[in-house]
Amino acid sequence: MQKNRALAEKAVAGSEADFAEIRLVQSSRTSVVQAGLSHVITGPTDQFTGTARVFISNRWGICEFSSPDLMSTALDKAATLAIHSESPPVPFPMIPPACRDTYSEDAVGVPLNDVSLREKTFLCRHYCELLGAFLVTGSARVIYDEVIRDRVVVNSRGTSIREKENLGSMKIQAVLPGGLVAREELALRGSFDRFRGREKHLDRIGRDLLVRETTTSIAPGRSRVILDPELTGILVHEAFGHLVEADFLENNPAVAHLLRAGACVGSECVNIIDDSLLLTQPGSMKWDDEGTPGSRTQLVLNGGIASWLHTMGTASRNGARPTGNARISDPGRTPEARMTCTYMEPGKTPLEKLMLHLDNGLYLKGFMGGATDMDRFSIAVQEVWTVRNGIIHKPVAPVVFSGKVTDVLRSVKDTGNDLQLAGSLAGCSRRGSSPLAVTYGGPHILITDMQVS
Amino acid sequence: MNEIVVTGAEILAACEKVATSGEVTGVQRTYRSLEYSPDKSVPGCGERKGWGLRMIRNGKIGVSGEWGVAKPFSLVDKAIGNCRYGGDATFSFPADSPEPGSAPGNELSELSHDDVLNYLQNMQTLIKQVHPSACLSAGIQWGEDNFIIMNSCGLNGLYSKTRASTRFSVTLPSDTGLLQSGFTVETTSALPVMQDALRILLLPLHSTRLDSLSAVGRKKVVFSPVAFSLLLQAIRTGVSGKLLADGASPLSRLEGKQVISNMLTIRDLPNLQTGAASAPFDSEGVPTYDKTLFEDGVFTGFLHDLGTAAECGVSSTGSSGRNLGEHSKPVCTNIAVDPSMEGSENAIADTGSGILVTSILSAGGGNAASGDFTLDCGRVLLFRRGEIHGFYDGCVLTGNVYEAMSRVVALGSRQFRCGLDLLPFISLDGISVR
Repeated sequence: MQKNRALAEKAVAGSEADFAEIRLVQSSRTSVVQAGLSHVITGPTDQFTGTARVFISNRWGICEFSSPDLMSTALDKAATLAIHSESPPVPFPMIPPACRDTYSEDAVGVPLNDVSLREKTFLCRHYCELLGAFLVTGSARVIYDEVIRDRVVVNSRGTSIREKENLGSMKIQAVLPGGLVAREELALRGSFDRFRGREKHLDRIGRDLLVRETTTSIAPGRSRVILDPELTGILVHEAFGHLVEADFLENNPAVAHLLRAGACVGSECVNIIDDSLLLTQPGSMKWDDEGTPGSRTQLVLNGGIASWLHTMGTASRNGARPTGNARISDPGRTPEARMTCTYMEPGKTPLEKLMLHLDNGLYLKGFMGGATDMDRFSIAVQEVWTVRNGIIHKPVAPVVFSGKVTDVLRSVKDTGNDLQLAGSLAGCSRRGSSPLAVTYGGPHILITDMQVS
Repeated sequence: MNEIVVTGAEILAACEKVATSGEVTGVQRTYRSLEYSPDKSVPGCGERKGWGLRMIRNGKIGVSGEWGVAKPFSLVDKAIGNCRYGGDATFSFPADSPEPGSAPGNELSELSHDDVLNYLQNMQTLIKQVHPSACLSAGIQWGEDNFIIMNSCGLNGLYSKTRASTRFSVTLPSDTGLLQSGFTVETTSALPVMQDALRILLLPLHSTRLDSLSAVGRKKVVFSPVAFSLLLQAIRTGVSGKLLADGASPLSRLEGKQVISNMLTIRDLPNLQTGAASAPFDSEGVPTYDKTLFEDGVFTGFLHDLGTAAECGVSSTGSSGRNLGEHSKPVCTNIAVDPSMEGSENAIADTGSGILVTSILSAGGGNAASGDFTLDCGRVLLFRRGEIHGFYDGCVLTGNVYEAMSRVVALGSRQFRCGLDLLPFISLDGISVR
C-alpha cells in the first residue's frame, strides 16, 4: 500500500484541477457462522478499491477505479465529468491544513489477523455449545466477522494519510420457540483479546433468557421508563444523530432551522458527543475519508444544539469547520457527514437511585431492531421488566417504544453514572448505502413520558 | 470482458494443479452515476471487477474471492485454507456450457448524466406541485455488468446485461413532524417509470395525526409493494432448498398442497426481460428458468442449487446465488405476484377500513425460517371506507406470514416495480396490530 500511496501522491500533484483527491482501500473480510453443530467459513475475501474525486469550476466529478495503474486515468475521467457537469455550482470545500501521517494499531493487543482461523472457529463453536446448553428446544448461533483494512487518502493540498484498522465483531443469538430472543454484538477495533473468556457472560445471557420466558404483555400507552446504556445509545444514534448530519439538513431547511445552534432539543441533563478518536471502538477514525483529522464534537450541550456533523463540503456551505465525519459507504460515492462514536454523556446518579426516581414504570434492556423516520423513531426492545416502588419486579413480553425525538429528549429527567459503549461493524445504513461501522452508547437514563406499544 | 476471461483462465489453471476440480466466476461492472439533491449533484463513473474461486480438494469444498487486482495463486491459497474447514463436496461441477446471453441495446446504454439529471429535476418539479416544501434526494447508478463462469469439467459461460439501481428519498416538513418516504428500484432497460415511482413515494406523505388507540387489535392491513416485499422475505427463505436440506423448512412435505390463499400466485422469474436479477444461468452455470412457487396458493416446490439438490436427491433448479468468495445457496431472483383481474390499484377501496403500511423500519424480532414476523412499521396510515384519514406512530405488526397470507382480502389490480420485485398492493385480514 505504501507504493500505491506514493503513486497517488504523484497523480494528485500532477492534476490541474482546483482540488484533487484519491482514496485507496485495501481490505480483507472473513466470517465464521456457527449455527448449532454446523459452521460456514467465508473468506478471507480481499478487495482493492480506489476513488478519484476532482473539484473544477465549483463542480465535483468522481470516478471509481479497480487497479492502482488507473489512478491518473480516473482523475482525468473525474475532471471531465466535473467540467461538463450541469449541477448548480457549489462553494470551494473547507480544506483543513495539510497533514502527512500514518496510524497503525498493530502494536495494541493481539491483532485480529495474528489469531488463527482455527481459534476463531473454535471459539464460535464453544460459545454456541455453551449457549445451546440452556436451550432445550431453541436454537443458538454465533457469528464472527472480521475486516482488516488499510486506507489511504491523498489530496492536492498536501494531505497524505494512511490508517490501518482491525475491526472484529462477534454476534450471539439465542431464539426460543415462542420467538423470545437474546441477541448481542460485541464489536471492537484493535485487539482480539476481548473475544476470549466470555463464558460467564454467555452463562448470564442463557439464564436471563429462561427467566424472561413469559407471555404477560403490557397494555400500550405512555409510561415512565429507564433505558439501559445500549438503548440510550440507539436513541442517541438513530433518533437524534442522523438529524444533525449536515448534508441531510442542507436538503431540509425547515429542519435545519429547528436544529440551529442553541435550539433546545432536550432537557438540561442531555449532553451528546460524537468522538471519532475513541480508537478501540469500531466507529472510530483517526482521519476521516477526506483526510480531515478525527475530533470530539459536542452535538448537544445542556439540552441545546451545539454543532452539526460536517464534511469539507458541508462545512464550507454552512460557514463551519469540518468535524472529521466524512465517511464513504461505497467506493465511487461522495463522502457523507456520518456519525462515528456517538454517545450521551453520563451524569452522577447510580442506577439504584434512578430506579428509586422511576418508582413505578418499566426497565427496558437490549436492542432488537428499529430505525428512524427522521425526527420520529421506533425502537424494539429485547427485555422488559416492570419496576414497582423502585425495585425490579418481573419480566413482561418485549415492547416497542416510539416518539418524536425532541419530545423524548426533553423528557429525560436524569442520567446515570455508568457510561457504556456498544457498536456494530454493519450498524448504520443511510439512503440505501452499504452499512458503516459505528459505536453508540450512554448511561442508564430516566425518561418520564414515553409511548410504549 | 476479455480481461476477466483471461484472468479467470489463469486462476482455474492454478487451481487445477492442487485441487480435484475448480470453478471460477468473474464479474466486471462499468457504470455511471449521479447523486442528486436540488441544490447540487455529483456525476460519477467507475469500474469494478472481481473473481471467485470454488474448489474441491480432498473431498472438501472451499471458496475464496478477490475484488480489484487479481492474484491467482493467492486466491488458490485462500481456497485451500477454506477447504480445511469446508463441508463435504456432495456434488460435481456441471460440464454442459450454458447458452451465452447478452443485453439487447436499450435506453440505459445511451443514457447520459444530463438525461438523468433532467429526469430527477422533472421528478422534483412534479413532487413540488403536490407538496411545495418537499425535497427529493436520489442516487442512480446505471451501466453494464459482465459475468463469466468456467470450471474444470469444461463448462464455459458468459453473459452481460444493462442495469440501473435507483434510490429515491423524499422529505417533507409538516406541523406534525418531518415526513419521509423512500424506496429503491432495480431495472434493466430504462429508468423507473416516473408516475409509478411518484405514486409509491407520495403515498406516505400525510400530515394528519390520529389517536393511536383506534388502530390496536386484529385489523385488516394493506401492504404497499415496498412493505409487501419485506413481508415476502419469509417466503424467499421458506422456499430455499437449503432450509429443506437442514430439516428446518416450514414447507417441508407441503409440495402440492394449499398453503396460502388461492388468490395468490407467486413466481420466481430469472428470465424476466426487465428483471435486474435476471440471468441466463445461475452462479454455478446451470441454466435458469421461470418458476411458479405458489400456484393459486398451492406450493409447487423448492429452489435448489447443486449442493442442496444433491442432499435432497433432486436436480438443481438453476437457483444458485452468491457473492464472490461465498458459498452457494439457493436464492430467489425477481419475485412477481400476480395482480388481481379486477378491483382497485391499491386495494384500499376493496378493503373498506383498516391500516395501510407503506414501509417497514425493521423486522428484527421475526423468524424468517418459521415465517413468524414482528414488523416495526413506525408510521402507518389509517383508512375508512376507502379514504385515508391520517397517520399514527409506533405501530408493530405480529403474526405468521403463511397464516396471514391465507387471509387475503384483496389484491391490487396492477404490479409495481419495487427493488427487484414486481408486486401489487395486498390486503390481509386479522393481522395483530399493537
